[in-house]
Parts: sequence; C-alpha cells; structure tokens
Amino acid sequence: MKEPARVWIWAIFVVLLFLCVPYGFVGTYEPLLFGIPLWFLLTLSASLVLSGFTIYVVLRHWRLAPFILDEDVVFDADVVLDENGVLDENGVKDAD
Amino acid sequence: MGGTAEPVGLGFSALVLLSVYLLSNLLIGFFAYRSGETWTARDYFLGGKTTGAVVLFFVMLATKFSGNTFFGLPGQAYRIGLMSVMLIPFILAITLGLLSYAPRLYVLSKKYDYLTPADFFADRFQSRSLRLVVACFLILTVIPYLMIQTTGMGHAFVGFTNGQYSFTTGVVYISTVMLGYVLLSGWRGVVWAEVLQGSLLLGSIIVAAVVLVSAQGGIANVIRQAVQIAPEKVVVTDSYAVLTRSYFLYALVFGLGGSMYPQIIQSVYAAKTERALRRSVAMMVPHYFLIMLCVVFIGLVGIVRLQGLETIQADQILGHLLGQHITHLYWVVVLVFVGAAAAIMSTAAGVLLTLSSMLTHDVYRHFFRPHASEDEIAKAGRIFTVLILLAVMALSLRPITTLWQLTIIKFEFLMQLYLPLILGLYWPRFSCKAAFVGIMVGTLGVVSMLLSGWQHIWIFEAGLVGVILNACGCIGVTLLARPNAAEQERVYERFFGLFDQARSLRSMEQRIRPGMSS
Repeated sequence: MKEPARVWIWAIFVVLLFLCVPYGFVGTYEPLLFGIPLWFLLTLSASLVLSGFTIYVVLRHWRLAPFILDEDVVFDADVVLDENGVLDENGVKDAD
Repeated sequence: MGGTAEPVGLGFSALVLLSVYLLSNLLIGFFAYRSGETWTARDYFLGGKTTGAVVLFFVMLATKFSGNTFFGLPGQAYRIGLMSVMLIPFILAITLGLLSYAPRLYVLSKKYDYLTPADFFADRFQSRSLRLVVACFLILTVIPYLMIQTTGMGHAFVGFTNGQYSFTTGVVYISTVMLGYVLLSGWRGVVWAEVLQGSLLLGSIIVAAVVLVSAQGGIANVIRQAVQIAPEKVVVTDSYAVLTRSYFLYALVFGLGGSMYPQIIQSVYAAKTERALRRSVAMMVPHYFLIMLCVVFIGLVGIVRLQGLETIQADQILGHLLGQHITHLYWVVVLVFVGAAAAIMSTAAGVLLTLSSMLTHDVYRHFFRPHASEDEIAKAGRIFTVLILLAVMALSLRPITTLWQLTIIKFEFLMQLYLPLILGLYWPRFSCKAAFVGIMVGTLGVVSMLLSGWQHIWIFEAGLVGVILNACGCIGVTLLARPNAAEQERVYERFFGLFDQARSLRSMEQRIRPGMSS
C-alpha cells in the first residue's frame, strides 16, 4: 500500500512552491538573459520541476484501492503475477 | 507598436459553425442517452461510476478550464503582467489539494457508494445536519462559478461580434442547447461532450497563443517588447510581504479552494478504477502547465498591443487581440470563438449537473422524500437542473464584478470545507462537533473580513484567515471534547480499520491468496 500522505513528499512540494516565487528579485526585472528577465525563467523552471514531481508522486506513490476494494483486486490481479508467477515487492505489478 | 482595441466582428458563417458545434453536442447527448441501460440517480449523476482515464481527464480539464480561461485569466495576466506566470504553480496547487484527499476518498466512495461530497461528511460524522450544511455551503459557493460561465457566454458574443449579438442572446442561446443534453443523458452526455469540448478548448487556446505570439515575432520578442513598453509589468513585486501573501500563500488559496469544487470531488467518485483516476490526474498536470502558459503569453501580447484597458474591458482582451487579425486569419478566430464556447459549456454543464445532484440527493431525497424511488429522484434531478439554470441565467444578466473577483470569492469559501474533509479522512478522533465549529468559524471569519473591507491581515488573505480560524475550531474542539467510545469504535471499523488493515498487509499476496485458493 502506498499513499501520497508522506511528510517528505509534502515537504518537497512546499519547497518547490517556494522556489516558484521570485524572492531573489524583489522590485526589479534584471538581470536579463537574452532580453528575458531571469526571474521569469527560474519561476518557469521551478514550475516545470513541480509538475514533474507531481506526476511522479501520482504514478509511483498512490496504491490504495487494490489493498481494500475487491473490484480493484480483480482489475489488478490479472497483472499481479509476473511471468514466473511471483509478486513484486508491493504485491502489485505496476501497469503504469 | 500599441494598437487600438478593435473587437472582432464575426460574420454569419461563424454563427453557422457555432450552431453545427452546438448541434453536435445534442447528438452526443442523444447517443449517450441511448447507451444507458438504466437511469437511476447514480447513472444520471455519475454515469454508474464507470468513467475511464481519458474521459475523466477531460472531465477534470473541463472543470478547471472554462470561460475564465479565455476571459478572466488573460485579463488577469494583462493586469498584473509577467508575474502572472505564478498562475502556473497556483493551478498546479489544485492538483496537490486533490492528491491530499483523493486516494482515501476514492476508496471510501466505492466501498460505501457515495454520490455527492456531502455523502462522505454525513457518513463519517453520522449527521444529517452536517449533510445539509455541507450541501447548502457547496451549492451557494458554486453558484457564482456557474454565473461565471453564463456571464462568459454573454462576453463571448459581445466580445467576438462587436455587439452584433447581445449579451442576453449569447447567454440564452448556449444555455438552451446545454440544458438539452444535460437533461437528456446526465453525466454520460456531459462527459462525452466534454471530450469534444476539451479538445476544442485545448486546440483553440494553443492556436490563439501561437498566432498572437508569432505575430509579435516570438516569445522572446513579446517579453522584450513588454520590458520596453511597460517595465512596471515585468518587475517583480517590491515587497517580500506582498510576494508571500499574494503569491506563495496564494497557492494555498488555489490549492485548498480549487480542489474542493464539488464536481472535482464527484469526478473522483465517478472513476472506474483507482488506476483510471491516477492516470487522469497525471495527464492533467502537463496540460495545466501548457494552458496556463498560453494564458500568460496572451496577457503579455495584450500588454504590448493594447494599453489602458479598464478592469472589466481587460476580461475581453483575447477578443480585442484577435480582432486585429480577423482579416487574414478569419477561420482561426472562428476556431477560438468556438473553443471559448466549448470551454464555457463544458464547465457549465458539469457544474449544473453537480448542483442538481446536491439539491436532489442531499436536500430533496434526504429531507423531503426519503422513500422516493430511483425513477422519482432522476426525474427530480432533471427538474432541479432546469430551475437552477433559469435562476443563474437571471442573475448573470447583470454582471456586477470582474470574472477574476468572482473566482476568488468562491475559493475563499470553498476552502473552508478542506480541513474538515482532510481531518475526517486522516484523524480518527476528529468529531462532528469539531467539523461544525471549524466550518462555521472559518466561514464567519471570511464573511467578516469581506464585509469589513479588509483584504488581508498581515500576510494572510481573507480565505487563509478563515482557514486558520477553521483549524483552531477543528483542532480545539476535537481535543477538548473527545467523541464517545461507541462512536470512536464505529469510526475505526468503518473507516480507519480499512486503512490500517491495508497497511498491515505485507503484500498483495496476503490479500488475494484466500480468493485464489477458493
């Protein structure tokens, strides 16, 4: 079973949100990089990393229903066993 | 460099294309109706809870991106300039809010067959009163959202046709078609139509941004020109307190408020499987990023091309900008026009159905007709759908404030339900009294601030002040008044026991072995 409700996951989310805010450039738009304010590029990059990390958490740290609901065991059970009939460490083969 | 505000004047052919699009929605509604085997309330409001990943993705897209994407948000980007790039983390924060409750709520909704958000509160806290409070709260806070959509319909017609067609015509024309397919096939028709509408939305906002930015010589040129023409709109805010309040903490307002839309919660309920839900959320994230980036660039082009638009005029910036290209890019402009109509309709139809489900299920069924048949509930749902739309259309014919302000007012109230939901999912001792006190205290805090004209206290906006009061109420009452032993046992067995048991399984093998051996 995996839930996204973990302290380290949410700490990273908060740090990334913090990095999105241009605290280092208060009251200015300089320096410019190829005519574009650097703060804008940094905020955009931090947002991109935040997007990537969110997708990672959604796909890799969220497995709850197969451990509780019968219907999802049926859906997941056909991919639970690998070709040798062995379960992975979580008992659920990742189909994503 | 700066142009004048010349709105678009689309011809008769554009309205023919719009009518073809509207007709296709009705056809989708008809086929969705034919596909349904039964029409219980569960089928009408949630499509029998069998929605797959791709359709669910479009449902979430339609919920978040609406008429506001074409009007309010570019208007906001125009007003605040390059800092509007912060709209990207704001909108991503909504996914984080969803991620905080969806895993547990999905499991419970499947196990106990929830239909509306208030179903969880009523079940978790065994309280009819709390059901009523949550339902009324959501209905009242989401009605402005539907007003935003119907207002957007009017703006679309006025902005894109330069007054050839009135605001009222736009509202009535699009609303009538939307009502047709919502009444015909409920959730199935709404979400199937959202696949078409979401595709049009995505295509048109991207095309609009590409066309406008290319005409200015590319992204770098747009930003360079903005730096030269309006340097005050590319400067970072000159105060750490404002940056913290209006940008860093504002992500919380978006995350907590935006994730509490009842239609987002219902899309969690409607998922066919957890895997479908996960995939739809994962698909949503890059699209959030892309769409908001387009919005930011449309706002920037507006800064370069149009100066001095007043507050409500700024909401029509996209129409003004496209008006400057109508002679050589007529059909592109028409595509954006239809995309805007699609965005508005998709969100409006989803919200309309959600509102109808809450009035029908939470109020009518649970308080007036507890023994009503499924058929009666489905019929009542359709009647409420018509009544809600008529009331909202009447309200939206007199726009009273900017679209952006309507969005914010809604978030500040919606976020007051977040803590009771999260604490109900993760804290076994959290009680009904505490949930009540939290919601009431938080809401009173927001109302007091709005009525007194206080925008914020120190670095906290009104909504966050409400959340802090809400948290004090929830935690304080829970610590002071522990629920009785019987209630604690019930809550553990029905909710937290499930999660503890799942956690104790070392692997899926322990769970499926008995089933396999039998």
